[in-house]
Amino acid sequence: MTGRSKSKPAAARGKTPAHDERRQPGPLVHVTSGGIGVDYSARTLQILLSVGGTSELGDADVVGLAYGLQQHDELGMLPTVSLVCRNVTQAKKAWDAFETWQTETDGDAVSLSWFFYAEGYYQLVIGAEPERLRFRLRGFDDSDDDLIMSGYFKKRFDRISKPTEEFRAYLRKRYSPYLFSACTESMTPIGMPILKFHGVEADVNSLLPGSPERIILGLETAPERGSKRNVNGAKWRAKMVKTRFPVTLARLSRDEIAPLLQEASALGFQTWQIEQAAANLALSNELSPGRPHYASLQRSTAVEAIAAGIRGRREAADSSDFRSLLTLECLLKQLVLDANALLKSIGQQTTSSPAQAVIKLRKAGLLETGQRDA
Amino acid sequence: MKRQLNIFVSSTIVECAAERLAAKAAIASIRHHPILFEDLGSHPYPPRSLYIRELHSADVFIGIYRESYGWVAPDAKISGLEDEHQLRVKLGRPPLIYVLRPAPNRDTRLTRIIEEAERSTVTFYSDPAELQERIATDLTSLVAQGFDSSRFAEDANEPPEGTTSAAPALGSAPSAPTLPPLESELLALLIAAAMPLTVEELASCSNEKVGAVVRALGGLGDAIVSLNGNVVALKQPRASLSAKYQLLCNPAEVDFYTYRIAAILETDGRSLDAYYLFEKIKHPRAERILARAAREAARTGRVEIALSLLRLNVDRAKREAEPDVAVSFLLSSAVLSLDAGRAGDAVAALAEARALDAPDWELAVREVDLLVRTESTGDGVAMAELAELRNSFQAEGDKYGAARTAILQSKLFIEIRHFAEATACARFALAVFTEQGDDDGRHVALHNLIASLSAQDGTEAEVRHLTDSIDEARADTPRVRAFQCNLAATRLRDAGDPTAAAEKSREAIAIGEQLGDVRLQLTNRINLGNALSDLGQTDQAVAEYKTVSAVASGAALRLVEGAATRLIATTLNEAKRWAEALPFAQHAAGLLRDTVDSKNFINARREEAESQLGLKNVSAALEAYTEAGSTARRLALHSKLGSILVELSGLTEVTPTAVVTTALKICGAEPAPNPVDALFSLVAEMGPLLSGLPQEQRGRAARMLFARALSDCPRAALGSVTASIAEQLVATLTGSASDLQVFGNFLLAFSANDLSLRQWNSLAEKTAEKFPGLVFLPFPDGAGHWTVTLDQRLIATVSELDDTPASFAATLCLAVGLSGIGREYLDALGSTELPRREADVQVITRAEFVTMIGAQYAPEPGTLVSVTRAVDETELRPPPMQAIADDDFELGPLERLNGKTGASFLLSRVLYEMARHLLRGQVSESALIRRLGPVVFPFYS
Repeated sequence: MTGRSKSKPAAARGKTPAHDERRQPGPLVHVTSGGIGVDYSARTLQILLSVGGTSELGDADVVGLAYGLQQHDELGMLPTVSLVCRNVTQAKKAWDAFETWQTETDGDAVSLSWFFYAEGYYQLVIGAEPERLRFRLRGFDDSDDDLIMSGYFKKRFDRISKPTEEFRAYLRKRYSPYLFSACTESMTPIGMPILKFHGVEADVNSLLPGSPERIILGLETAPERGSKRNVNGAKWRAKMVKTRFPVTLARLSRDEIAPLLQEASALGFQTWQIEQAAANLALSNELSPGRPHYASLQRSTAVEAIAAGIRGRREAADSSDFRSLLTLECLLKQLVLDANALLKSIGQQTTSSPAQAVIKLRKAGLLETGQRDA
Repeated sequence: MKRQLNIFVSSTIVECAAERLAAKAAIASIRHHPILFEDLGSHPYPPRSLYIRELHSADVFIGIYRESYGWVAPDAKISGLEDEHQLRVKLGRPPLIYVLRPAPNRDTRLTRIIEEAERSTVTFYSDPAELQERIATDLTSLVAQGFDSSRFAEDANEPPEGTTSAAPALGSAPSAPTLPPLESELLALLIAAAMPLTVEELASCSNEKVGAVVRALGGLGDAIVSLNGNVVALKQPRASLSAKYQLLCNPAEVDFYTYRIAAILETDGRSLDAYYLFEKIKHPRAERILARAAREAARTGRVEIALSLLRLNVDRAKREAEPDVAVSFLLSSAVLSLDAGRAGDAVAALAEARALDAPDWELAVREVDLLVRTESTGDGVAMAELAELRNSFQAEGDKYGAARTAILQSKLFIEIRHFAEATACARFALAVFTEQGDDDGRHVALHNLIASLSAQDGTEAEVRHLTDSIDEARADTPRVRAFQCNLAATRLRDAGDPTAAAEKSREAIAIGEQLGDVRLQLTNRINLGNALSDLGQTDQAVAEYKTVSAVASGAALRLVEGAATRLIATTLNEAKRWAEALPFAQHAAGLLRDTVDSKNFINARREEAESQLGLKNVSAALEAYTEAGSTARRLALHSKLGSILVELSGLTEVTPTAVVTTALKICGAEPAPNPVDALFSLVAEMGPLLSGLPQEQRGRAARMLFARALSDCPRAALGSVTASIAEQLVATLTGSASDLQVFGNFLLAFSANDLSLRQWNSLAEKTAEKFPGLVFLPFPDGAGHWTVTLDQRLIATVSELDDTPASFAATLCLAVGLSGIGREYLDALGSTELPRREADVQVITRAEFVTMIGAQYAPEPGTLVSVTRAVDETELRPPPMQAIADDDFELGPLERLNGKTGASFLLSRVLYEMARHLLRGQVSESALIRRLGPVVFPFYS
C-alpha cells in the first residue's frame, strides 16, 4: 500500500452513476469455521445508465440533417453536420448535455453513426460513447465491472444525398475532424458546435450478427442483461489477481517456492487456483495479520472486509512478505476453501479434501478455467 | 647456426645391414644427417612415398651395392633399389656410389645400375670398415671442393625415364628477377659478390647484421678468427689487397659457403634470401624453392620481387606444360597486383590464366575475376557472386577453397567498412587455415581479422591477444610494421593524439613507398589526411585525399577513389566551404553509385546534402537525404539510416512538413495530403523501421521524428491525434524491448499536457496489454501504479503520487524505461548476489511533495530530480524511494542536460538509487555510475 491520500481527479469528481444497482457484493466468499475461501471470478456489477441528451433530442423534433462547411478557428474550414430541430427548447437541453460531456471528456463523447441501408436510405444514431460515458460516471476506478446502458437517438433519412455520400467518404479518412451542431429550420444555431474527430459509417448489411449496432438499430433484440462490458468470470479473476497481486505473483516464481507449487500441481490444482490461493494468503496476512485463511475476520464483516481489501489493494515492492504463510499445508487448505467458494456458488457440496476439491471442480467443468456459466 | 647436409643412403636393407651402419657412422662423424629407411620409424605412408619424399629433401645420394637387386613390390616392375637410383638421376642429386668387390653372384639388373652409376663416381670397397672410411673421406672432399650438386646433375647427362626434358638451369630463365638487397645486406656483399670487405666496410654494418653473419657462419670453424665489435674477418688475408682483412678469395670456396649459407637460410624459413643465394651460384635448389620464395616476397610486401618470382614460376610451369601450376601462380599474381594497386596488371594476369587450359582451376579463376571486378568497378553483383562461390566451395566440402574466398571477402568488406562481416569471414578463414596448418593463409586471415576488429568497439582485448599471436618470425617485416603503424594511427586518433597518428601514418607511407606497394601508401595517406583533418589542417588533409584520389583513379581503384573524394567533401564541409565541397560530394556519389561501397555512397550523398544546405538549396539537400536514406533502408544499413533520420529530424532550417515528407519518402510511403495524415503514415511506417536501428539511435530517431511531425499538428487536434497515434503505435509495435524503446521515446515527443488524464490512463492500459513486463493499475484519482517484471521476476513497482498528466507521463516513462532496459540493468549490476530483489519507487513533483510531506524535507528548488533513499539500507522493508521532480521538470530534451532528455535523467537517478538499494552499497558510487550510464542513456537519448 502506498499510503497516498488523494482526491479524485477533476474529470470524475462529483459524478455519480445515474443508476447503481448492486446485484452481487462479489467476490464469491465462503465463510466456514475453518477459514474463508474467496473466488475472484465474481464481481460487483454496476449499471451505468445515461439517458440525458439523447432523450431530449428525441423530443427536439429533428426534421433534417444539413451538411455544409464551417470555419474552425484553428483547423480551418471543416465539414459540418447540423441537426435541424423544430423544438428549440428540447434541442438546447440536449446540447447542454452534450457540451457537458464534451467538457468532461471531449467532443467524441457524443457518438455519431451513419448506417446505410441497401434500400437507399440511412439512419443517424446519436448516443454516448461508452468508454467516455463510463469515465464520466465512474472515473478511473476499475475495481467493479460495469453494465453500461444508455439511450440512443435514431433518425431515419429517406434519401442518401450527394452531400451525405461525400461526408461518408470523408469519414473514411484517417483524419477527419468535423463539427456537429444543431440549428433551427431557419438555420439559427442552437448551442455551440462540437468538434469531433471520429464518426462511424457502415452498410447495415456488413454488421455482424450479434453486434451492438444491430441491437441499437432494432435488427436484433438485446440479450437479457443488455449491453455490458461482458467480461467473463475467468478473465475477471485473472485481471484482479494480476493487477491487485502482481508482487505476490512475482514471488511465486522464486525458486524456493517452486517445490510447493509442484506439489499442489501434482494434486491436480491449476495455475489459476494456486495464484488465487496465494493472493488470498497474502491478503489474509494483512487483514488477519500473520494468520492464514482470514482467520481473525468476524463472520459478519468478513465479506465486506475482503471485498474492500481487494478493491483498494495496491501491492508495492518490498512490502509485507506473506511467505511465512506459504506452507504446503496452508496453501492446500486455502485451495480447498477457494474451491468450496466456487462449488457453493453453483449449488454443489463442499469438501475438506484437496483431492475431492479437484474432482468436484472437474466434474462441474470448472477446473480448467474456473469459468462458471454466465 | 649450422645446417647439416641430408645424405640419403640407398641399398638393400638386410643384405647391406653392416654397410648401412658403417655409412651412418661415417656421415654422423662429419656432422651431417644420414637418411636411412629403417630410421624413419612408423609412418602412415607407403614405403615408396616415403623414400620419394626423403630423396627430395636429400642433398647427397649414397648408393651401396652388393649382390642383390632388391625386392620388387607386387604392383611394381622394378625394385625399390632401382627406383631410388632412377629418382636420384631424375632429381639430379650428387651420387657417391660404393660397390662391393668381389661380388660373384651379383644380380645382372644390379650390374646394369652400377654400370649406369659409373658415369659419375663409383668407389669399390671390400668390408664395412673400409666403406665407413671412404664415405667419410669422400663426403669431406665433396664439401671441401665446393659442393655444387648442379654439376653432378649435369653429369647425369641423361633425361630421367618418363620425363620429356630436364628442368633448365634457372640462369637461363627468360626474365631474371630484379632482386633487392637481401634482408642482411652483409650476406649479399659477403657471398654474392665474393668481394673482400675492408674493416671500414664491415664496421659500417650494424651489429645486428654482423651478428647474422656470425650466426650463419658459425659452423665453419676456424674460418672465423675474430669477432671484435663490428668486425668479422677471416684467416688467409690476400696479399694482393690493400686492406688488412679480406674475405673469401677463392671462388670455389665462395660457391661452397654460399650454398651452405643458403641452405641455412632455407632451413630458417627465409626462402627468399635462400633463393637469392642459390640463384647466384646457379644451384638447382633455387628452382625448387622458387614458389616458396615468391610467396614469402608477397607475404612480406616485396611486391616487385614477388611479381618477378611469380612470373618465373609461371614461365617454368608453361615450359613444363603444367597449365594448372601456371594458373595458380597467375592468380597469385593477379591478387598481389590488385593488392598493390595495379589493377591493370591484375587484369592481364587474369586474362593469361583464362587463356590456359586448366579446367580444375575454373572456379578459382572465377573467384579472382570477381575480386578484380569488385575492386576495380565496385560491382555489387560480383561481390554477391563471391559469396555464392564460397557457399559452393563449402557445399562441395572444399574448406580450403571456402577459406581462400573468405579471405578475399574479408578484404573487400574491410574496404567498404562492413567490419562485422569482414570479421566473420576472417574468423572463418583463420579457423580453416589453422586447422589445415597453412601458415601463410593463417597469417593473412589473422591480419584481416585484426584490421576488422580494430574498427569495432569493445574489441581491444581480442585485438591485443591476436596481435600478440602474430608469428614472431613474421612480425619483423616492413609490411607488418606498416600494418602496426596503421593500427596505431587509428588508436592514436581515437585517443585524441592526431599529431602522433600523423607520424605513424607517414612511417607507413614510407614503408609503402619502399615496398612499391601503392595500396599501402593510399590507405595510409587516407589515415594521414584524417589525422591532419583532426588537427584542423584542412588544406593539407585535402591535399592528401586528392593525392589518393588521383593515384587511385590512375590505378583503376574506383572504390578507393570514391572514398578519398568523399573525404575531400567531408573535410571541406566541416570547414563550411560548401561550394568547394559540393562537386567532390557529387563526384564521389557518382563514382560510388551502384557499387558495393554503398556506405560511402550514402556518406557522399549526405555530404552533398550538407553542402546544399550550406548553400541554402533545401530541396536539393532533401533529395540527397532521400536517396541516402532510401539506400540505407533498402540495404538494411540500420546505423546509417538511424544517423540520417536523426540528422534529418534535427534540421532546423527545414520545415516539419518537409522533414516528415522526406522521412516518408525514405520509407517508400506515399506522400500525405496534410501534416496529420503524414503523421499517421509515419507511425505506420516507423514502427518496424525504427526497430531495426541500433539501440543508441532508435529512441532518439523516434523521438525527434515524432516531435517534428507533431509540431505540425494543429493544437485543437493534438489530443485526439496523439491518442490515436499512440494507440496505432501500440497496435503496430511488438512487445519487444526495442519497440518499447520506440514507444517510450514517442511519449517524449509531445508535451504530457497534450493528453488528458483519461487519455493517459487509456494509453497506459493498452501499453500494459502490449508489453508483458508491465502491469498497470489505476488509482481512483487517475494516477498510475506500475509493476515492472522481467521474466516473471519483479524489478520494481512504480507509483505516481500526483494526478497530473505530466506526472503520469513521467511515471509511465519510468516504468517503460525500467521494463525496457531491465535485462541490461540487471547485467550492469554484475554478478553480485543481490540481498534484495525489489524496489518500490514513487514519483512525485516537488510541489506535491511540499504539500504532502513538508518543505523542510523537500530538495532545493532547481534540483531536477532528487531521489530519496531508504532510511536504513539494512532494513528488509525500507520505505519507498521517492523520485522528486522539480516543478519545471520535463521528459523531453533539456538545455540544462545539454540536450539529453529529462526522462533519461529521471531513469538514471532512480536506477542508481535502486542499484544502491539492491546491492546495499556493496558497489562503489563511481562503479555504479559507470555501469548504469551506458544502460540508461541510449534508451531515452
